Amino acid sequence: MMIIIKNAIRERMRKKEIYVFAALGILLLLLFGGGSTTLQINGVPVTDFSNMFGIMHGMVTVIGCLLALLISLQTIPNEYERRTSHLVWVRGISQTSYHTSLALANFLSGVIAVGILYMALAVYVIGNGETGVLIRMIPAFLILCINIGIISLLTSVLSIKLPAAVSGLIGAIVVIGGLLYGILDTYRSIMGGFTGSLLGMALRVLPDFNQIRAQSAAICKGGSIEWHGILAGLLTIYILSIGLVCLKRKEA
Amino acid sequence: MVTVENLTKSYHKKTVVSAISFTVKKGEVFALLGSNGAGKSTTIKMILGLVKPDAGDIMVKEGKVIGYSPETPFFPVFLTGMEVLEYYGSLQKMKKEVIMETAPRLLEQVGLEKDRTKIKHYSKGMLQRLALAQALLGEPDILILDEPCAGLDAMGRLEMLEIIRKLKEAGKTTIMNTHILSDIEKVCDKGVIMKKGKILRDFRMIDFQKDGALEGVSLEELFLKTVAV
Repeated sequence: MMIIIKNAIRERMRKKEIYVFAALGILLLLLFGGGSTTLQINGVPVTDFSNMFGIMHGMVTVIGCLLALLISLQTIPNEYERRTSHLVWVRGISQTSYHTSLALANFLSGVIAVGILYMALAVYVIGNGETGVLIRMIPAFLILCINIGIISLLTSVLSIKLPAAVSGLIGAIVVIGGLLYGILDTYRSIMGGFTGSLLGMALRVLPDFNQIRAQSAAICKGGSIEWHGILAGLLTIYILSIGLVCLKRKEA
Repeated sequence: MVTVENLTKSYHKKTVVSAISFTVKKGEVFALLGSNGAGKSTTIKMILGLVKPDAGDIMVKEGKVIGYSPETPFFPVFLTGMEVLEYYGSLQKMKKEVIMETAPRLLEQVGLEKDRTKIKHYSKGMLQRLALAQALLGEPDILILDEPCAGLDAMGRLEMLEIIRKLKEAGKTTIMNTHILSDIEKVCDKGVIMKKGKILRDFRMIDFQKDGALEGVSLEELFLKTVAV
């Protein structure tokens, strides 16, 4: 299993796709971080570290989730399209083991990409002399990895059966919905009626990425965290892992 | 070594392999001969366990290791030939030191160099050779080669056939799928002619070598006569 994971990550490293995506993310971060004096929310300039860090942490979450989606999208379909799966199957590697290895490689690649973004955030923190936050960023990063895990696993599981474009589309809807979970929940309570209940049903299956992001940000700020959101995220990962074991392709 | 009995496979109600049977003995080079769509590749995939047969049996002598070289080999383009062998060797649980000892020898055997050339710079012929090298990892008893000369130029084909001939001399049992008659004439011992998923007839190369006479025809004529039915 380890060799498949290592090879899949090595492919991304050598193709430099992780670095390209992460570099684009850092560029976006710098655009916001560097131009802090002009950034305003409701007409009020947002200049202090606390506000800026919150915004940038949120951006890392959004970019990180999208990166995880992009990285995971093609891995499994590519293996079957290129028929590299044939040479793995004939060596007695089971589909479950093969898919699990590729999904883990997707997750670890996503973690590396987000890790690079997080380092850019760390540079910003050091630049502002907030070294206390730096230590707290480590557990915060681990919490954020739950989001990465959910997206990597979801996209990997879907791509066992569906074409990359379809699983990408579903993944994108889940990412956007999950990040806007709080807003959608508020909207649901305002709406009521058929639309409200429809939205309520959708929210039941959507992972609450926003909740996990909020817990990660809370750790950075030294605040208390709500374990409910984190546990729900871990449960989602567990359920998706079952899909990884159960879903199989008919033939290589 | 390998016995196939009444093997059948259908896709979407279309039968692509229909109740075929054949036996391959130790040390033989066996040819599955037929035009495109004859069912050769599906047969090979069923023997390898990549495709599940609808009916029939495949019996491979117990404990025998199979090596497989695909028709259109694809290897991660960022790897070198050596790294590819390391990767597939590890997948079949070969020890690192065994791989490091075996891989350079295999590369040399198929006419490739142990250098830093990435797969993306490999020609079609080099890829076919590398595919054969990875099939030879772990000293397989049976080799299954799916169109081993596909896409190769004249020189490349001759070199590939020479490698197969040497493997035969080394006692390897080979099942080879091809539609090139001259390739069969050069290396095969026997085979079957397939069309639309059925075996139309079997042949032994030795029969052509006796005054060139099996029903008074060459393999080419026999093939044309058979598939024209």
